[in-house]
Amino acid sequence: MTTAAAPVAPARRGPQGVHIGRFILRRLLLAPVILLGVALAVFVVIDLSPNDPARAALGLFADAQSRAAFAAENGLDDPLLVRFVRFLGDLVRFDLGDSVVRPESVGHLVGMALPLTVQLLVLATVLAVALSLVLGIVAARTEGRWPDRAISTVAAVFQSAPQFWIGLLFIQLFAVGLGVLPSGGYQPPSAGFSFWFSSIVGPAIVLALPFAAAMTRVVRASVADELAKDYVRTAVGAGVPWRAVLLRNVLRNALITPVTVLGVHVGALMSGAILVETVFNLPGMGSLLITGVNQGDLGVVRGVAIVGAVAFVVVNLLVDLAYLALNPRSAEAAR
Amino acid sequence: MTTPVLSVANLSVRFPKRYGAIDVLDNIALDIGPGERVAVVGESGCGKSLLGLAAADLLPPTAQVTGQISFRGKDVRTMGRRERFALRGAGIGVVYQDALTSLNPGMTVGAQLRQVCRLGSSSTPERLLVDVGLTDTGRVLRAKPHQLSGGQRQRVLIALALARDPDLVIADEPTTALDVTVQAQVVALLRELQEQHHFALLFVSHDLALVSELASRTTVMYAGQVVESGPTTEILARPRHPYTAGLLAASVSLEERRETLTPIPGHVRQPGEFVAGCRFRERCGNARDDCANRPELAPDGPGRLLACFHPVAKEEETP
Ligand SMILES: Nc1ncnc2c1ncn2[C@@H]1O[C@H](COP(=O)(O)OP(=O)(O)O)[C@@H](O)[C@H]1O
Ligand SMILES: [Mg+2]
Repeated sequence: MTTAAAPVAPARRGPQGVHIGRFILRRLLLAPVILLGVALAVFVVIDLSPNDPARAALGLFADAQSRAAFAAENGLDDPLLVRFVRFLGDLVRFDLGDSVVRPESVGHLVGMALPLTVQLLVLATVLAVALSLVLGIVAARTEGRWPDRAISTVAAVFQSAPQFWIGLLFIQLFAVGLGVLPSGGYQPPSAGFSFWFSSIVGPAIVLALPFAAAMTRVVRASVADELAKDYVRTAVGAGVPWRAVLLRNVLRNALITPVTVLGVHVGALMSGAILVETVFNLPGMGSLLITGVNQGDLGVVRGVAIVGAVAFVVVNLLVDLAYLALNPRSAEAAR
Repeated sequence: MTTPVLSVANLSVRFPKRYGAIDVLDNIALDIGPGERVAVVGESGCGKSLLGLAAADLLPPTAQVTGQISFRGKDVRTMGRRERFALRGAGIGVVYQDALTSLNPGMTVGAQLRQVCRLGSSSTPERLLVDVGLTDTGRVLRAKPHQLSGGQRQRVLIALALARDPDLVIADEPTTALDVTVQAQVVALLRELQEQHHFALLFVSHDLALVSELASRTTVMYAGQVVESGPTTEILARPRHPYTAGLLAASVSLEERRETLTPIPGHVRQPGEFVAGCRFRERCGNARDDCANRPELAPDGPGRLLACFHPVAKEEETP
């Protein structure tokens, strides 16, 4: 070979690696700051609430003296900042304080409720992602034809339908009408897989549906965009089979947008869980929060809010990292 | 006579949704023998890329194709799924116009070469990169396309096209995105690879000067129609169609370095605005009233075809 070698472009690997490292480092350093802000916000908002913890603990008819004693004992009259620092101190020791209504500590109550909610959220996310991937890809490949139209229409309906309505409809159909699933209540995994699964799959589906609908539309648009790109023709023209073109070449690029959308929906999914737990009568974090609010149990409300906020921040961090893994160039852009 | 590797006859392409009943490619004919180097020349918008994609059976589904496209004597469009599939990569390799968008931005060069080599290749990703003149193959294999220079990307695209030892390589303006020195290198490379591997080459370009380096026969296209074809040296020495003469006057010849360039006035119209009859007539100095009829492509001397009622006079040297 006598042709002159192509001039070698300056190596750009190094600097890009540095960008990625810096990006991750910055996000990791930022997370505790965000958490601190979130903790402060939760603390202040709950402090501003008109609920009086002394009254909640001692009852409506307790006299002023015992209320004052309770306040002094629990440091309720200390300045806000002092109480916040004390709260933080407890928090880093995983002490969420006491319920003022129930005998158990908030940590204990959260520990009881959290696994159910996590199972619900994870199952709903898995269902939504799987469903939206399959339907989104089918719709993209049949763009403009009937499968695409059917999928897009159904997705639009479910995306805009209120979740409680879907939940009630679902209970009516599967529990009351067909009798295949329980209408509510929870069986822990220790009760056996099928009991556990049938108690949680219904709520998970209801929670997943609007999310899956939104994601299906995003996946469809994103995959259709990607399929129209020149590099797809390069792969097809070289004889790469369709399935490999789709799974190995297209999907990775097409998932960048859906992953960011996933992050946007985490909050909606969590608030959806509160609703779904109430509709299906499941003793998770949502139900704990609702009873806490109803009983004026500020300790419980604060505990649930803090745990929810921490989970939200952590999940968003994970989504950001997933996005980065799919699209390393975004680190340069986000500089 | 041996069967041509590629034989295109009466090929017309329409885009009904966008241009209705207008033939964006109109009645194209083109033959390429085994190991032959043929060029298709015309300004941008003349339908050269469409012709290349049609020949490789890679037109988008919105295109409506009529006519025959035969590969080794078999009509591509009546082939079964399997045969058609075997054609891709192994029968015909394509070097696309825009190397940046034609490579997957999310996959490394190595991964893209490997997935093609796995389908059947006499070579390896490393060897292919060396063949197309890339050094530092380890780094190139690990790189994503955006980490390479334009010339390197074009070479990678050539390596991909050659990976499965095709009988025909279609190179669609492989040098337009590159600067002049790199252009010359890539053309030299293609020529060298062709002499080594003996594949037939369909070289698409808007630059007549580049073509003279490479192709034994040339087809000149204007607005989706063939206006003239024949041996490259003949066409360059004695262009017969006024469009060819205009292209030649407008081209920077690598050998002669003409002082003055005379561009053809006007530009290629969008298919929706094609005029009836000879599509070049509105820009043509020789045009008369009869040019409103379509001139048929007819023999014009040995090995040459011409579609023009008022060609450039034969004895006249290049204007
Ligand atoms: N997918 C398509 N849909 C509709 N029109 C197209 C499509 N591809 C190309 N064309 C039209 O065909 C004409 C020829 O395009 P092209 O083959 O790319 O020209 P060239 O390669 O000679 O520059 C252009 O006018 C363009 O608008
Ligand atoms: Mg082109």
